Amino acid sequence: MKNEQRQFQGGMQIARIPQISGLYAWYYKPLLLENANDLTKTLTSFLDNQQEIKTQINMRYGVKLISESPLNIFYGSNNQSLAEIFSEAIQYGENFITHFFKSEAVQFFTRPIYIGIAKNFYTRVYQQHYLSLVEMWDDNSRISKYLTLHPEVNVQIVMTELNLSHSFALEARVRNIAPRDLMVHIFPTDNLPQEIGTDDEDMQSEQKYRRTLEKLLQIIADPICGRR
Amino acid sequence: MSFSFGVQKDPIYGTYGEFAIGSDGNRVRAQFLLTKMKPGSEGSWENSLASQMVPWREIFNIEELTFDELLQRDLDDSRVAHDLIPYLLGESGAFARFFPPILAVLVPNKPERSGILSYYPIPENQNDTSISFGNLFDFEKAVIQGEVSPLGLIKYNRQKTAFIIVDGQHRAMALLALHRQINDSWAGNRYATYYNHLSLTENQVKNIELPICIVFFPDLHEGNQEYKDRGIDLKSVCREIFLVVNKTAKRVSQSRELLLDDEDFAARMMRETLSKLKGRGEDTASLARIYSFAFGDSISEAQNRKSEVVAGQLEYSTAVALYKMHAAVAFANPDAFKLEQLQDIITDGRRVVNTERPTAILIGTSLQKWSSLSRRSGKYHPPDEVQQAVKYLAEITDEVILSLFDKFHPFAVHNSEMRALRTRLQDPALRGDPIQAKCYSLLFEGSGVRTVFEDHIKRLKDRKDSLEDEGKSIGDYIINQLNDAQATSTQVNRYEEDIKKRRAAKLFNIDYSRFFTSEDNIEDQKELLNRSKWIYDTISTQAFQLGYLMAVHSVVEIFMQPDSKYEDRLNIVKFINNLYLNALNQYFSSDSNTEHRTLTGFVKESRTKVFDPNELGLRGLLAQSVKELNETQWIFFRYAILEIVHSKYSSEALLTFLNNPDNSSLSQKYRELLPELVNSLLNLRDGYIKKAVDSALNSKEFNQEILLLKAGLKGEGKSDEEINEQEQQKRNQTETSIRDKCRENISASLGKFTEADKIIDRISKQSSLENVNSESVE
Repeated sequence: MKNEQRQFQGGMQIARIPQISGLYAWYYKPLLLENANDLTKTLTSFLDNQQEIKTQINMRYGVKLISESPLNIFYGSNNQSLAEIFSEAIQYGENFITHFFKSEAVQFFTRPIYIGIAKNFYTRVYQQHYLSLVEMWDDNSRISKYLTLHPEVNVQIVMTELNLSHSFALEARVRNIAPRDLMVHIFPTDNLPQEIGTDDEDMQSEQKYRRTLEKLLQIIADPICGRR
Repeated sequence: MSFSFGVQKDPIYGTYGEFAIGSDGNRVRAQFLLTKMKPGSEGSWENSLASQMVPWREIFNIEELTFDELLQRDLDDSRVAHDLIPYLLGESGAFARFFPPILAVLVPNKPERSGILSYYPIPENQNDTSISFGNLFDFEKAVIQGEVSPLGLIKYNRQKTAFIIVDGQHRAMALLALHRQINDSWAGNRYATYYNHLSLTENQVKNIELPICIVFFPDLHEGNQEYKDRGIDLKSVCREIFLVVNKTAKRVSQSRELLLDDEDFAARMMRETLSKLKGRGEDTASLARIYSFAFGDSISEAQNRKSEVVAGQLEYSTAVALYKMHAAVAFANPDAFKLEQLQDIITDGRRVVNTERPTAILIGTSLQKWSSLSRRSGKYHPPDEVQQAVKYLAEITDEVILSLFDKFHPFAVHNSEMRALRTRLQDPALRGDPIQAKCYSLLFEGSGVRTVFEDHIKRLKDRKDSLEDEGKSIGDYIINQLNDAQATSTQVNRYEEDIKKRRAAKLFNIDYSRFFTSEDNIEDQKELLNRSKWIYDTISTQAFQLGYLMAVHSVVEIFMQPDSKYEDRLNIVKFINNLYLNALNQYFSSDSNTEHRTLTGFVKESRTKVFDPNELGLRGLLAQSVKELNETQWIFFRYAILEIVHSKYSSEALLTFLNNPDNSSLSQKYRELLPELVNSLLNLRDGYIKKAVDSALNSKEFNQEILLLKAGLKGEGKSDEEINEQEQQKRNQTETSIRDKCRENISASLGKFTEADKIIDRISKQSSLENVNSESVE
């Protein structure tokens, strides 16, 4: 009965995640949704990934022509920005949108934020993801302090500035996603190959099999914060 | 020049200056006047100022004191009388008799004299060189030959102002004591006894002058809405200065820091609880009172260090314990609420900083908008929201812990016995007697008083010893003081012993006067006191109190959904708490109402030994693997409490509560969740049994035995195979006997070694009272 639970949201549930292996996927599912504007803010920060194009032309005598330009994403024939699409959609169907995000449909109709492989869900999802995210939210954490000073930065900058390695918690913290608004969906299985190694964060990049499997999963699931 | 006619104001002359306190957004301008004061009877303005250095304890009694004012409270008179005053008088042989300035804030008294006002009145007649705060005080800069000089003048109204001493309260007390001693102006003050041995001459104090820096905040007045909105008032700035001064100088003790910490939500919640305990009405004698909580410095810290809480103290909890409990419930990681989680992750406060848990608790309130809440962010949110959050978050702990202190049978008995003693000591005839009056103060005015008193006796003794060593005469005064102090001490001990006897008798339904006046039952008296001692000593530990709190909240969590509302949580907390308290009370009370005259009845039942490590019982079970009890054992008590409330001894109360139609929906839910709960409970039980087995099999003694056995067998020429077989046999035997011992321990406290299905059966069925009663006792 209880062992068949597949979705966990909020610390108390996530702390009770089974200690078995399998795949997991994090989804954004706001626990409280008072108006759709909060949703817009978070979702645009996800999806509107600031990109930049940098061109460098090397000429004779050491002369270089460098151009750096931001790339903004526009959609459709009207060249709409993401924020415009959201506000238009909300204008016509706020009730539907809030209802949708509160429903079970989220994990079928939205891309996951992050996916991964766990030898042990409890270690990976509760200890490494949830607890680190909760710590990063503390006002006294380095990340919170940095983000207070630089609210607009992206994950890459935080990683470089604070000398941190990439992690789910970091992605979520930089995008200001509160721990309570995250839902994790699991697929428990005993069939993972032995070679995927441990859940140890530092060791993971060393595990070739794990990386290959992850790559495949990322291609088919297309998580928003995948390691692309 | 005078600003208000008809108001008598005393002058203070000095050099003025200005500084600011607070961080960027919350900066407050402070003006100061650096000046001096001196004890003496000359009637000068310096003498007047000395007489104003009154400690708060003389104005308020402890139950009225707000915790902001407590920083003025724990004054060590013994240190003042025996160290500071001799030093000031030049008796201690030190040459330089100088102190850094005392730092005092000039504040308005409340008209009814129970605290200070938060703001000065709106200033009048303000110009470049002077400012007047109505009939409170005026400040002016001296103009000399047409130029504004660095000299200034404060004129203050002695009736309407007070000086909060933020730094140097002991120096100030020394000065005040000298002043009073020379002017003979103690006027029946209780603390005069600390100083009466000083015989002074005008000449001795003639040259004593102490520097003092008087601070006021010209912008913190009634008309300044900006500060009001931000919750900055005179109390908060005093606290801020106190903290800064004391942090950079000597470390402030933990409990002291907690009384003052504004950043830490848990510290604010602790103060909220203490405030609830203050000023409780007189009607219900069994309610817990503030005097049962140690929040003075030394005791709570000593208590902190001790593994077993203070044997011999009548206080049963501490400010520090309350603080830990609040931190745990509001900020612990979710793991802490999993019953089968056996790691202590809540007593090290620094690690209890979950930012999600408080937001989960606050869902359904106006504060649900907070998507994360840091424990140390009390200063970074709007003050009214912080206050609300503190109220909400504190409530879910207070609901549990205050009702434990008020209604749990042993505590209720203790509370009413203390209350009865207090009433007896308030008898005017007794209050007139200096020793009885002192006893009252030592027992009911907070633990700080007690420590100071004990220090005082020690110093008097030291003084006497050193005079004796030097071959000097000791002097009547010291001898009289010592006799008095010892008489008081004896009397206080007698009262304490009496409380212990009375509460033991009442707890076990024994007729106090007949039982304790009898002379041929000394052994029985000892046994009764011992039975009661283990119960009281255990329930006064942080381990037990945290264990109970976490038992309730861990079970509450099984009921909760991620989006459950605050009100629902509070209701479930109340439900589980009442359910368990009723069950515990049945367990810890006699089943019959008969009052015994001899050591019979309830006291003879094996369940009363549940917390005695030397007897068969649950504590005995723990003792099989853990000898020392410390706060991290709250996990054991969480288990033990769940065993007790689901045991056969408690089941009548448990079932009565569950079958009450008012609780039907939650009761039904409880019954649905019961299998999961009982399953965890039995896993825990198995865990403690396994620990006992491991501990026995890994003990040095046992390994020695194995070695001996092997050597013996080898000597007999047995083969390796045979030796191994024998060893295994020996191990199995030992394991079996340890397991049997565990079962005995468990049965002794629970009446039976009950399996899961039996417990579930007993509680699930709606009308199963008769079945329970027919269960046989093993």
